[in-house]
Amino acid sequence: MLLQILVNGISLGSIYALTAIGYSLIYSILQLINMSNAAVFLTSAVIFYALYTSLTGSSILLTFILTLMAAGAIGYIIEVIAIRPIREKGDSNTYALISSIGVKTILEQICQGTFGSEIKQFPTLLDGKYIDLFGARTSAIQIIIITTTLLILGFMSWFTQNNRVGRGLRALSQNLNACHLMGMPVNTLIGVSFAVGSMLAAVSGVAYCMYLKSISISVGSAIGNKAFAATVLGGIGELKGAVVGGYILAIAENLVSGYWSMSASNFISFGILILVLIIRPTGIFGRKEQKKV
Amino acid sequence: MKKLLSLLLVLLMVLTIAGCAKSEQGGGEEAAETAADANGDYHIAVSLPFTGTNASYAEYIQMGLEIGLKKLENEGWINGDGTGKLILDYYDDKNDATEGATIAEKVVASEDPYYLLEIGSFASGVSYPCATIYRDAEVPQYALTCSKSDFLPTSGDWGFSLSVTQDTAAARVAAYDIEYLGKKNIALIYSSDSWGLETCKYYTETAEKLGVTLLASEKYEDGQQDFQSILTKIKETNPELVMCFCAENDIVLIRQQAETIGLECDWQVSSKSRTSNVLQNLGDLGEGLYGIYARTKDLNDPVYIEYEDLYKELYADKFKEDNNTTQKYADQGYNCMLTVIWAIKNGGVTRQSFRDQLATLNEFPGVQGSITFGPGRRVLQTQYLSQIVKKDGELKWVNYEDILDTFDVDAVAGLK
Amino acid sequence: MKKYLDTRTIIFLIIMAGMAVAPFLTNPYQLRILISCELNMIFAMSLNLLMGIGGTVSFGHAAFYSIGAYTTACLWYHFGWDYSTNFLLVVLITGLAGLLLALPMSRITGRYVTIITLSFAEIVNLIIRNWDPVTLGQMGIVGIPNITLFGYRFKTKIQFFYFALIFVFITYILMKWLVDSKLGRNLQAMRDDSIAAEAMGIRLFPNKVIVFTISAIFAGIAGSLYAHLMTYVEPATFNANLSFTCISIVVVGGLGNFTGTLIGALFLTILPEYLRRFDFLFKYRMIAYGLVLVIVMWLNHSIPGLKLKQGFAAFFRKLLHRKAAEEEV
Repeated sequence: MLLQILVNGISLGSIYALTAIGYSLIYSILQLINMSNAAVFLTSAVIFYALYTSLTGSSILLTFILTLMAAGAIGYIIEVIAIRPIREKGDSNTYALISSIGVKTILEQICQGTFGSEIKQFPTLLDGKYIDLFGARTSAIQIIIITTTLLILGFMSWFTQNNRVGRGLRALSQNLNACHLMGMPVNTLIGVSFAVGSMLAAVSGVAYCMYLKSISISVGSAIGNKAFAATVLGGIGELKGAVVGGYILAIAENLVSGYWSMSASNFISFGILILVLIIRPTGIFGRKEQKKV
Repeated sequence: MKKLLSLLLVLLMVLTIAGCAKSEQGGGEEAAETAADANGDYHIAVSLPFTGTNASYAEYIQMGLEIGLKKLENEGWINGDGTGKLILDYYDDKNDATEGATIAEKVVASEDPYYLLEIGSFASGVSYPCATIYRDAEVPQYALTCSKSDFLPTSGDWGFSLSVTQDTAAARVAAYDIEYLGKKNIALIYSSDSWGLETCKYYTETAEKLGVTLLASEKYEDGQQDFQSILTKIKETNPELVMCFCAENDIVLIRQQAETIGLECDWQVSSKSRTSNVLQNLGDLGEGLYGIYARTKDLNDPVYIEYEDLYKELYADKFKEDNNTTQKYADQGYNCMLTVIWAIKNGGVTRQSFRDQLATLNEFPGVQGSITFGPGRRVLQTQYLSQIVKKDGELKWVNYEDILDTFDVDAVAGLK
Repeated sequence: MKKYLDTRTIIFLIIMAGMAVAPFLTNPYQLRILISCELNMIFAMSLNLLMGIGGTVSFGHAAFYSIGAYTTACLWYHFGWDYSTNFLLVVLITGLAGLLLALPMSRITGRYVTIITLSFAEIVNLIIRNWDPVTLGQMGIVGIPNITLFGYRFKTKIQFFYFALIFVFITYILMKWLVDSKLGRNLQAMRDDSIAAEAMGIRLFPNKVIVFTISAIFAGIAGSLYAHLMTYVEPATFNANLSFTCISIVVVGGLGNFTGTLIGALFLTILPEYLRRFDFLFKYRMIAYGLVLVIVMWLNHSIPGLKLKQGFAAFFRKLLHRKAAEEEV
């Protein structure tokens, strides 16, 4: 039973981790908590479903690529329409935050209006294939999700370390104004970071629905807050922090609901968060925010 | 200056407080002979959650109401000569208590159109705050899906419901599971809303009365998507039957995830969940699923045939999508409309006479069997067991109507 | 004289006067919406103290609202006490809750405070959901009577309206006074530059504790009024959306601007109801709401002091500017 719970916890943790990176990426650059991320999570799952059932002739790969492109575009558009005008005026992040809440409301409502509230079957990979890992039944999709997450994490750390765009993003997170003065295309780069964040949300959204084999409009809200908590737990703005936070939270949750009760598990995940923050106010891996006089 | 102004203001307030008691009594005193407007049409407000996670229920109820209207239209409306139309105004309460109460005030305050009655809301939690408003304004509230036992007392004399209370429903389900299906090792999963908590309580009570202790009893919060941990826990107890009092979306998730972790047993779902949606999504996993359902449907019943024909005519796509069956909430919406029409036709043309008339409903031929309002305007209905079986390669719900002849569920459950 | 009667105070007095005569001009439905406005005003002003003056973005202000609502509801349910007694306990308990939430603030700063408030709200909601013997859990508490003061029970919604209006008035005056007091000035100094404030000898932690406590108390009062207005409380009402609505009101009204908060509350409470009359928006009412949020942030992030014209002008100037720049290239 313990092993089974761990396996489930790790697969759920992968989903949290992917979404959490999206939050973390944007936070590290703009110090903005992008509330629209959870809505993009839902929207891309709905787009995937719509494309799969109507257009792409049931090819999962093709649908997936199209969904990623759409999610990237949505992320970029969100930045241009809702965040950039506020950012350029030099207004406080709080205003951008409200704007992102507005975007979240709009996206969720559109999904609800077009998709309806009923649960629907979601295409999945290798349905009905299981591997027995020392008594823990592991489905093929769980293994796929875990490996995909690890691959994406590897890619992300390569991207931010060695790629020109990635290095640009890191530079932005160090000092936005200096980048501007250096003649870097700051706006484009921030747009890209929103696009990348949205694509990560799209990957986790689609993966989560594949994992559940079904899609309903409440998938986003369940994950959004948890991924957010995971981001903070690990240390906001840190890639590895988001990942570790995601896994810790998911495993703790599964253990508590497996051995105790499900209501207690929600309690525990936020309890852990508060405890960690009291002991280590910047999260597990977070660096102390430098205060400049 | 500021002090002076604020003093003035406070004075004004005190004066108005003193004066306001009078102004309140002014409205709504003239008892009109009829609630119909100048054209002889009757207006009905409908408040349902058209957005949010319960939107599909609201849509089905709306379908049922519209089918009822269509039937009336075919008969030439209330007076039979094309006059006396019923006009429904839909409001979206988002399944939110605050929104619902605001709508209730709007309905009550509205003079043009003047509403004869209000239909809704969907959830008990939304119907409650509305109930006191309708009670005080003396407007009939037809909360057709509100099953909570203390709803009707709250609403004074003005509330109606088409749902049996959980003490009856859950006790019957327990009796079926334990005595008819012969299961002794039962685990329970229920949603932690008021409906789930009540069903769980009465189910457990009846089971204990029948000498069965539940192996596990797991509660989950609304919006939960991942049930694997509690299913793993339940799997450890080796149940013969897992009873789910859950919303239909959750049933689909639970059943699928049980398959993922390899939990093999029989499945029983609540009356809230018997929809074709479950069938569609579960595919072969649905086979063998039991469901308890309030329905005495005889397929050759003329009431049902007429209903089904109209359903096919108005909502052909939906009918086909749902495996060629009508849906439970549409049935209830239709029943609601039929009883409303019946009450209006029998003299219920003002709010007071409508309420009095509807309360006398007895053995009314509805689409789920006959409808009677018992003491306290609570509906009395029998419930039947049905099961998903594979027929000609297709999954179908099969109703066991004959069970009642051989197995008196109410006697076993100790309800008689 | 001039010092007291600035534009904001005049607008405030106009709003109050308008509200005072409103019951004579409205039907019960409109009155109900105005009562919701009043509750939102108190609720949002309490948050504005925390956000606008204290510089803390709270995602969990609904927690205090729910504690206030449940305190009075539970006291009525278990002991049958009336509002005059319950009110004191509401103040006490929500004040303590605010104090409790302020404790971690000795170590935690910046954005992390936001996350603590969010988690706090989730935990409070989970406690309400699961503490069945006291809160009745998910079943909710039914049949809470109208406000009773020293044995006198309010008979009409109009009496309730004025009662709440008095609270709006008191809250506004108190908040204004607080902002101008030593505490308020300390807080603003801390908000603008905490290091400089500390160097000036302002002790951060005690000030934070006080502002959290006061803010919590007023949110709790708004919540307690809500319980008596609705006659029913259930945990689902006090979700994250309530906190977001409250933040939206504060930000739309302008951070630190209490008159703005009043206007923001009127605007954002009436708007969704107003949108109800458009049939084509039936299912998409909330989209319009979201759009308004984005656009208001876009133009000039506040309605009062309505620099709409300037906002538009700046927008078009920028557009033209960009065009010109492109043409040059």
